[in-house]
Amino acid sequence: MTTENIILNPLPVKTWNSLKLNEAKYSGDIPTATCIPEVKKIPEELELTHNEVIDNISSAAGELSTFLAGESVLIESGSDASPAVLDYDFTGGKTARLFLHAKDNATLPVSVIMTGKGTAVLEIKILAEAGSTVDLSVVQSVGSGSDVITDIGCTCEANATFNLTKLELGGKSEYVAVSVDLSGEHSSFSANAGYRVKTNQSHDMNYVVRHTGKKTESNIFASGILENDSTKLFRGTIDLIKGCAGAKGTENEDILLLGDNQVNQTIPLILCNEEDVEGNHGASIGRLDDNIIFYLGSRGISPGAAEDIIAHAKLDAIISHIPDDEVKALAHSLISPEADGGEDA
Amino acid sequence: MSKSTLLSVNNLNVSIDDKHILHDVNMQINEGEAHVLMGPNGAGKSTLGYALMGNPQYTIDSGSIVFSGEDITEESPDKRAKAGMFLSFQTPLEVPGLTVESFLRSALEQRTGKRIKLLDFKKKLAAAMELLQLDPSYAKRDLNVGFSGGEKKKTEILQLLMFRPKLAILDETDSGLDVDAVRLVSKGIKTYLEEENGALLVITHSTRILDAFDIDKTHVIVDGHIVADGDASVVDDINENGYEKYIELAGK
Repeated sequence: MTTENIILNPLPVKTWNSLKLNEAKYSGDIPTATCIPEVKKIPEELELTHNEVIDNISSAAGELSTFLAGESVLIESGSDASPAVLDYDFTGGKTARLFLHAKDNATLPVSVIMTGKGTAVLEIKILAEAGSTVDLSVVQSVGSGSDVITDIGCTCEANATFNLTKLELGGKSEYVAVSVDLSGEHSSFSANAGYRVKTNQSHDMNYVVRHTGKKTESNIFASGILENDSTKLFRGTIDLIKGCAGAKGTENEDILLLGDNQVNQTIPLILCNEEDVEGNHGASIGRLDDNIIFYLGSRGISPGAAEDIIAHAKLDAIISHIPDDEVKALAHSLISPEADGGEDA
Repeated sequence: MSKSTLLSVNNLNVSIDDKHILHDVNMQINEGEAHVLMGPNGAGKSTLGYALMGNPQYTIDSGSIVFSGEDITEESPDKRAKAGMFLSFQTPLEVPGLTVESFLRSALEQRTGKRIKLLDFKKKLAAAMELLQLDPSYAKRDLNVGFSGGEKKKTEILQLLMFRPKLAILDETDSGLDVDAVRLVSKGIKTYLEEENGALLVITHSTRILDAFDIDKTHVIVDGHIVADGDASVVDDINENGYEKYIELAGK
């Protein structure tokens, strides 16, 4: 279905319209074809069913949800589990829906691989019950001419943990929405997002964490590389809602600029309606330091190679958080100098 | 048989931010020779090291640097390194996110232009780390991040052992090291000299590190001028009498 100007990634509290940061407007294809994953690995502790959903998980993707329907996959865990691996091939343009349910005190590690050429829309909704841990890693290497939209939502009950690792390497225009409700006491969320936005590509992110439970903790780290003429917008909202006493939220960005004419926008938003809380934001943005270029040069590494090595190292640090060794190896191969990212025809 | 010339520095004048630092410096180092560059604080010792390695912050106003028969005065640092030159930094840089192992492998591949076999590389790295008594876990740590001063200097010598350059410029490698660390670093330098027949230019204040090898030539620099060249006895003279007479020479 071709759409015009649907609102994606809205900022929870609007700023001046003239800044053009409040939301993204997407005109393009929202595929009606469903993408069913190839299940590369599913340990016996996990139960996989089709066409069951989890309701009432929030979204930071704006109007996207009105377009989502069709077949879905649900994975449930009731105990400790080793990683499941799902491979989604979006060739031709497809939409996928995945639901994850970690029952009380269970662990649920899941790796999602996104490949193919064509518009890719992926919705992942998660319920982490009390004391559970969900480790989700998403490795996105969709063709470089494609639009990619990812909508991740999670509710964490008491003492639950949601760890998200995202590696974003493909797509012409990418939209990432992550919404997390830390509703239970001592629940926590940690995100490690790594991205490489290549020439003339754009990357739009909207992370929203709502702290409602006491002593909840969130930590968002986004580390990326912007190449020539690329565009990136990061919205990071930490909402410290009344009643979340003792909560702590942190968001950090680390951006390496390679080449020229990048548009790099960041809008950190820390909302606070509770006294005994802590909200932090930090950002490090710049080109590779001349001293590092000289140091690496004195070891025989050219400035271009030095940039590649440092860019590689940044993504490598993100990959280290992926729990499955085979997915980790795949991610390493995708960022190697030999990988070209898969051009669209 | 006479040794062939490896490095020839000819009437080199160097400035930084329009401040003239080195004045008409001349120096010749032959293959396999160990030279020492001494001088009081601020004399221009490190500037010479940086200028030889091609640090773009330093401007070569006139003169030339010829290495292995090629004029490298205008060459970039990576090309000088590929030609066989190495500088051990006085203050090694921290590079977050880049592990020691990954850095060494990338650098070796860049220097040689070939893929390095992982097994051979790991063997060579383990042997070099053992020689320097560096814990193997340091291979997986980010380059120099959180390392003590001594560990950083050992990591510089680790690079010397892995890269095996034709000429190693060691800038105050022994400064800030305790006796044991100096001993280990010296052992690394000695191994390099024995196995590679490499040449050295050792920039130093102290003489502790000089016990590790025989000195072929000593140069004394004061206020950016080379004021004396001599054999190992110059080091003994400075040890006993200090730089006073050399400072006077510079004043003439």
